[in-house]
Amino acid sequence: MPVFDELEFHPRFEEHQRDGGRRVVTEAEAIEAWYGRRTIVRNRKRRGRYLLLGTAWGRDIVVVLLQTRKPHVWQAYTAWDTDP
Amino acid sequence: MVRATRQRMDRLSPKERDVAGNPDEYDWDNATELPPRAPGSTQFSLRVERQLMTSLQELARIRSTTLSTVAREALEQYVASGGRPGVSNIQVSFPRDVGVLLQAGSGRTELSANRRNASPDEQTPVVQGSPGTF
Repeated sequence: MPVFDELEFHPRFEEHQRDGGRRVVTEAEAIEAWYGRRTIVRNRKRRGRYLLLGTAWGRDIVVVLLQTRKPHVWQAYTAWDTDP
Repeated sequence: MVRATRQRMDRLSPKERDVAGNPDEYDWDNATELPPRAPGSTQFSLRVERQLMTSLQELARIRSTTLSTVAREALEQYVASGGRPGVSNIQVSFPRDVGVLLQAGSGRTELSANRRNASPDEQTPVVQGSPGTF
């Protein structure tokens, strides 16, 4: 399990979600999930790509994490919530 | 939540799907739950002009470091300086017989030599009342 130490955001983190026509998970919500109890799921086929499943302000969210050049720094690429 | 996550991945745009991959690519059976992080540092979100963001990214690229490192250092230096925003506030003091500050164009200011042992070409007449501190 890699070290998930520092979180950066893709410059279009929230715009990716708008492009997908979804309710936006803000950067602040992703940060809350990053610091809280969370579940990490590894992509078996694509190296350095994980999903972070967590909770922010009462709603369950998922954040796509991409590994950066530094092994402890991760970039949040996009996100979605899992509310029905 | 895992089931809901898999279902909602169908709503990703094609571009997002290219990056995130398909649900079947993820190792759902070995998902790892991590406890909340211990306090000691904090993280916040800050909205800035895109040009500033681009400049920070360029600095990070030149230094082969991360955007977070550059932004963190900028904030640390700002706090360490007591909130003084830039070099324009630096005070420069020198003896009057050393020289005078001259506007050299292009926004530059240069110290012109006026040492007693300077050659005639180097010397600049000292204007009466010219401040020695700027």
